[in-house]
Amino acid sequence: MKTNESKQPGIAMIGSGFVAYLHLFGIRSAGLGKFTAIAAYTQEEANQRGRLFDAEPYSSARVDELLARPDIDLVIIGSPNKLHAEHAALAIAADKAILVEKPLVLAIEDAEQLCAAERNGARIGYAENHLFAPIMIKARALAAEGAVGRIRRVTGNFGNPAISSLNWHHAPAVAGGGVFVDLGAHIVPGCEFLAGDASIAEVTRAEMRFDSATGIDIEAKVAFRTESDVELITESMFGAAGPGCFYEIEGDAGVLTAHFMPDQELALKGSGSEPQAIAFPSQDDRSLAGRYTRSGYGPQIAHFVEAFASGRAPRLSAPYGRDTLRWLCAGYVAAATGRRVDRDTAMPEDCTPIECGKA
Amino acid sequence: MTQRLRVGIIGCGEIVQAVHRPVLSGLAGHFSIETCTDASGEAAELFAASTGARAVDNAISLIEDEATDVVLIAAPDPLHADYVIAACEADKKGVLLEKPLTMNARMAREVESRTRGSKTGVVVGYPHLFDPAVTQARRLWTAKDKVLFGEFRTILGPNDQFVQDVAEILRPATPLADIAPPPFPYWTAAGEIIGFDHANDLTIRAYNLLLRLNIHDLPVLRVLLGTPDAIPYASNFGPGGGGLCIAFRYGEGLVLLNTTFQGVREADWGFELRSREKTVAVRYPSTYAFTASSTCLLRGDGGGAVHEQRWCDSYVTGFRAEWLHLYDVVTGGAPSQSPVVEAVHDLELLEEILRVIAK
Repeated sequence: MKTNESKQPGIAMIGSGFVAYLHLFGIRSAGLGKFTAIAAYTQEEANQRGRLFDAEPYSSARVDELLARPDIDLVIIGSPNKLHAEHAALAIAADKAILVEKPLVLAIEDAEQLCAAERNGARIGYAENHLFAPIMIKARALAAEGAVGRIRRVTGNFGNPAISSLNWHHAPAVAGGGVFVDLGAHIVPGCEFLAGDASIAEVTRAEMRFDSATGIDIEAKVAFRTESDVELITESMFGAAGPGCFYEIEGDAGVLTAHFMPDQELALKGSGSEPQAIAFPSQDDRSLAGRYTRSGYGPQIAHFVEAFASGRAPRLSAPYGRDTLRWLCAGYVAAATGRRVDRDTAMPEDCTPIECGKA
Repeated sequence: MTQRLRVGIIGCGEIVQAVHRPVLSGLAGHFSIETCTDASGEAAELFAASTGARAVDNAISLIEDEATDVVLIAAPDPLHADYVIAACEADKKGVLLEKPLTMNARMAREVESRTRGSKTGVVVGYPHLFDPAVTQARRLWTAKDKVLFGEFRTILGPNDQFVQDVAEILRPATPLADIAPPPFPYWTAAGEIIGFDHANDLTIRAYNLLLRLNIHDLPVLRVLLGTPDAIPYASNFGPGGGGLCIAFRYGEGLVLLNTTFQGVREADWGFELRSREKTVAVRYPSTYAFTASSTCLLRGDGGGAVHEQRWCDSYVTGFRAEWLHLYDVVTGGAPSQSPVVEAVHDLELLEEILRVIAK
């Protein structure tokens, strides 16, 4: 029986795709936690990733064996979206703390179940790396201090190149939607975070363009209004020339621009003045540790490890993931109906976000 | 009657098309290309059509195929370990594994432990180690020769121009889009060696140069001189850190390994070792030149005058020699001259160099 005798928490990952690398890099950047085990769809893929990551490999058929290991304290759920609910439930049943990749799950009723589990003592974190990135924290603090005056609008723009036809993101039943689920899931909470303390109140309008072959949305422009009447505009796209993401906070006294990727840059432009570069932590650290601090993956895992170890509630947990999922569903409904969608708008609770738009 | 070995090829890319295919065609009495596979099915079909081989769905199926006696592993570097282990576990007769053995010394030691005692003859493909000029140099430079000064030079022109000279590369119309961007495995492996705080653009560039290019030189350095006593200096230089300068201490002697790229289509690749009594030098032709001989030169005192001897009449390239050696290993039971255990030491030396660079 393997026990975790080191002071480093043992971290396992269910899922072996792109995001597995990002979490591994986050763990290595933060310098805490031991990436102990990884589960992949096939044993062959698990072996490959496990060998490279220096982690024990498990096929998805052997997830229960992974979860039975006492040397694993935290399980990151990074499997294809459709499997989040099943893997989260298995890990909770094994009494593991979990950190679930976005989207939390694909149906609101499954999200409610995780919220109930959390109320009953399950330790659940919701991974949204943008909210842990130093540039975002600095931008929010500056905006809150009045750097742009009264905040009117926050824009989030995220584009990725076209994804491979082999990728499960092309399968609506597995992914739960297209670009709005994949990238919108980052920039909806990102914009809300930058706008201040007020939460999103409603979707005001939404436009989406769908790929006729796969049925997924490949371009989405969804606008929200917060409780403090700030407009949030999210623009996401598959098929961009390269990966790129930026946020813009517009106020009545200036604009704060945070280029999130590929390179990060924070600039403040006051009314009638030239943009002024603003420094933020980790900006000049050219190491991989610096890169994955800037991306938020390092601070994110550090936060959740510390929160679960100390018994404190993490910043983002199941209710936050559920609310984000509701707004993703609301975006599809607004795009389909042309109507505003607020918290009281009835939406099917057993549908994926993209299905909500068709219901 | 000569036994003809049936070859299965994993990876149908440039090095296989430009080098291994013509070498195997020239050794038709020893080998026949029976099966092939590639991550791109289209690439495998193209290669199969050009060789008369049978395209197989994936590498594991190829390894397990009874029609495969020996396996050429020319897949991307991060997959080498998985396939050589699988081939040994499937009791294949032999494996020619394109360098590098794998991504770092930890993974190499795992490969060594998993393949130790296997009946499969494994030859790690270091063509320079098998080059006739190096074979001659090993006869001339003996264990009692003390190096005073030496230099290994790897100064190369544009690779694509060398390839264009000798082969029309068949490329699939649809490029394979990787789920994980190619640099990620390299970041993972390099970051493990030197830590994420020290892994940056320069050190990762150095790692890539060492792993993919200088890995040719390290086994030659080791068979001629042994493991160095110390590495007093190692650093990137040039635009983007694309050059490397490494100093190895051997007793009172010093050996440099210099690497850089230039726009001129010239391959200045080889080494020179000087003791008090003699100089032994080797020059390699371009990797893709099948009718240009490498040369070995000996200079020393001869009856009061400087005496020079040159060997430059061999048209057996290192690639052809390594295939012939694999044939002897499989059919004659000869011990591998490039076994996994030695490749582990090459990667351990690579890690030492990288740590010096990171400092």
